[in-house]
Amino acid sequence: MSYNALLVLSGTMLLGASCGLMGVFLTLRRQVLLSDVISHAALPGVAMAFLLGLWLAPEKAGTLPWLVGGSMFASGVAVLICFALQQVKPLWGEAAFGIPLGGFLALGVVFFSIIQQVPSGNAAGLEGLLFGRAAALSSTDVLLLGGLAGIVVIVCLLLRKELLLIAFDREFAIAQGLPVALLDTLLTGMTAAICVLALPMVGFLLVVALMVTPAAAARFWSDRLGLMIPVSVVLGMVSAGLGTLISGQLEYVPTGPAIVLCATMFFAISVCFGSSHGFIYQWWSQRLLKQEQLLDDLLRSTYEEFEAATAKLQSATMAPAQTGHADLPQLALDNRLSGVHPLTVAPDEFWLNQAVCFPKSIPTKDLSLLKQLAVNRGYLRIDSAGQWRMTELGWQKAKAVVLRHRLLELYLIEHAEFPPAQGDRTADLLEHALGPHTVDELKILLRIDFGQGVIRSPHPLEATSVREVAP
Amino acid sequence: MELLTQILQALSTWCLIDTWMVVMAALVAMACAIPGSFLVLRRQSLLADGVSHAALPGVVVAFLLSGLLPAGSGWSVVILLAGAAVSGILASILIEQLKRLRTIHADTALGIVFTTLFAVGLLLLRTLADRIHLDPACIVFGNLEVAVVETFAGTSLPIGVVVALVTLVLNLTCLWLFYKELLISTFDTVFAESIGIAASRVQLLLAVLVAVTIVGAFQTVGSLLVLGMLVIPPATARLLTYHFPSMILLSMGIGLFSAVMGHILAISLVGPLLASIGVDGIEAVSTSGMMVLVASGYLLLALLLSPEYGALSRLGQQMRTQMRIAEEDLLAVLYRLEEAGRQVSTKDLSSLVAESTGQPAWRIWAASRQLIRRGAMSYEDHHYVLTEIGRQGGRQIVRAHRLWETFLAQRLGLRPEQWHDNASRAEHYISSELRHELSNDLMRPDQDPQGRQIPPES
Repeated sequence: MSYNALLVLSGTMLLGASCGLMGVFLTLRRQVLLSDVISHAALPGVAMAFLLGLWLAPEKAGTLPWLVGGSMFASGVAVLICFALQQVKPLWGEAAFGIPLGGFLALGVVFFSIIQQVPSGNAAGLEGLLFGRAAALSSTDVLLLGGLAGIVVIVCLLLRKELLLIAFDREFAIAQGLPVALLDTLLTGMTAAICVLALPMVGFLLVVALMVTPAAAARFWSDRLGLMIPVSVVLGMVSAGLGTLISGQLEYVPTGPAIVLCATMFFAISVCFGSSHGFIYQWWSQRLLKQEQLLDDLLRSTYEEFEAATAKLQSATMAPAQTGHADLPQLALDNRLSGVHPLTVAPDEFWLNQAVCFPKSIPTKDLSLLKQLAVNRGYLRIDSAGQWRMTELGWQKAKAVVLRHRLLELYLIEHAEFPPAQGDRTADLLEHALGPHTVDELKILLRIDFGQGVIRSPHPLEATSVREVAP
Repeated sequence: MELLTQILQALSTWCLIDTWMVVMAALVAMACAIPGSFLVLRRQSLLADGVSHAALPGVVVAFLLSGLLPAGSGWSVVILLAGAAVSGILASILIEQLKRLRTIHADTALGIVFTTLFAVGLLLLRTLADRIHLDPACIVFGNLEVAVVETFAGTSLPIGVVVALVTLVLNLTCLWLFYKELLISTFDTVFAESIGIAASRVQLLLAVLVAVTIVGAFQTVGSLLVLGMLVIPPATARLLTYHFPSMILLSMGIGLFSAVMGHILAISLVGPLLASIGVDGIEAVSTSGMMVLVASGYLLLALLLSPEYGALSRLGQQMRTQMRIAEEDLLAVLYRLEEAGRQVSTKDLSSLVAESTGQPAWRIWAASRQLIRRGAMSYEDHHYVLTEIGRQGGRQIVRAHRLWETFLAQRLGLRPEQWHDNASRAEHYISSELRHELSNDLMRPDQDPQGRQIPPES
């Protein structure tokens, strides 16, 4: 790659980065349409500068400084017209943007038709401005554009706190005594400058894309500005660089469309995989969350199963007409449990029978996956006989889950006056949203203090007292 | 004078092609006015911008397909319009879907969709450039001069004119069929939804109409300039009227005139004008560009002269109000002098009025001329004398002033030094009904708080 090509590439990447930077402000301030006006209004500016150049300094007509100057002037006028038209009542909003857009384009077209007929007018340099032709830039052009863009970026970085504040919360900025009007003008001016500087690269019809697309893509990666800005800058830079490389390789591809399609590609990727709003990411994280909930349900139902079995065994052995061990198989079968010694039941000896009936919230097809997940987490283990057994960790987790469920149930029954059965169902839905902090709050609110133990279920299973601590 | 003869000379070369160009441009302009009116009222004028970019791939593909058909048949027209409709629908569906993500705003969605589709269109154009004779710049900026050359086989009827006519008829038909839906949904979305008009469907219909119009126009004014024709004439019409049917008719009329004037100016004015500053060899400039510029000129005129929003009419209204106040001030001063039994020469009177009301001398002079002309006072022997009409007017102003002072003192409890200035401003805006109410409310006082008599109404 030649020195010039490298220079052009780095220049376009710098411009892409600055477009990404300004784009964040632009989208935050909802002034996307303004960039549309700015870039389109550059057309008559360019043509006018060309004609003026022909008249004043024919040898320099069509060189970049003239064209950039002309387009900056025209864009500035168009922005002023926009703001002035906003004041006329029936035209506020978008209409005020469409009018200068149409008018300036028409002016540009008329100027261009003049240029085409001027005998000495060589409009070749102008073609590039329509659709972008980065390769045609000379090294001095790149230094000029890059230098100006660099200045804008530096100003932006120096003032980033103030600029973000007026973009985000104008009222607060005013209250802070910031010169809001001045900053507004500065920001709009810098946006216009970057738009115009990017023209020779992307072409005036597509500058909007480079301003808007990376910034919009960044929204899918983070809600925090501190992260959004770097993402947008990098996306802008990479799209510009990639587009320039592609159009350098393929003769017929103008730089503008190549860059824009690269940016759109990154946008599409962000929409899918973005770590904040990307929908595949969201779908995946929701799936994980759902799995987590199902695991909780699994542990809770296992614990409750164990609890019920223990209670039944206790009442059976305590009963006056004690039948002894002879009934145990029957009882165990009844509880879908086996291998549990009636009174000395140790959690570790409790194992899940294949026939354990899990709550309906767990689809059977997910069950084996869930069990595997529980094994991976160390909640379950498979013993030498090939049976599923709860581990110590599993019991702890299960106790916490059950406690959370019952606390919520109690809260709903005592404080929200839910009937117990409804409290149970509602708690099923809500419990997964409670964090450890909320659980602690609930304990305090319900005046329950028993260390790590579990309270009995508040709805009448076999509970005698609601607040009695289970074994 | 030389300029004028040159213009006339340029116009004298008018030929059939010019006529066809004007007809075509006028048809396009009128077609644009219909969806444009809705866009302006719905504040969606940049949808037109979006769709005009987004229609490019549709146009290119349709052009490619129509190239397969024998030249000069009407089918190419149908294919072009269908291609436009498809890309319009595609663009609006994409925009709606992106908006549904909620992460980005509507304008951002618009920006992303239309630039992407435009980029795709440009790429298609470049890759297929060998197979279709389509210049990107020509599609983007339009080329009326070329558009009229291609005619139906065996006739002199340009295909472009038929395309424009079809577009216009299509727009008129849709307007006639869906007038109620479009209108209600534009003015009151909530009401429209409540009577079963889905906003999204109306939006889609409008997007399709815009797309079809844009494609119908792209040979004439280009896919970008059509934005100007869609937005500017309806915006002008909106400044001039409230009534929706008149607005559509007016914007169609403005479009028509812009087309005619645009072409005439394009072929006649610019060349001689440039020649007069020493740039020779310019024969005619782009008619499409000129047409939009003429429309912008009408808009500028409307901004100046519109009865309600025009800058000039507002200025005039302001001046009329100031003149009325000056006249009333003069009458009030004369009435007070008469009340005190004094007579002051005209010169002293001017300085007295200027001092007490802050009115500039020229306005006082103009007001006195006006009052004499209306017979409110007469000029006798270096001083003004009130006639009965003038005395009546002065009495009412003074009455208003003193009633208001009483009100300020009794009801609002303002301090004495606040009474006079306040009442001097308010007196010009207190109507006779208000004076009556004030008087009743204050128990018909006959003296103001400073002990001066409050004169009766008449």
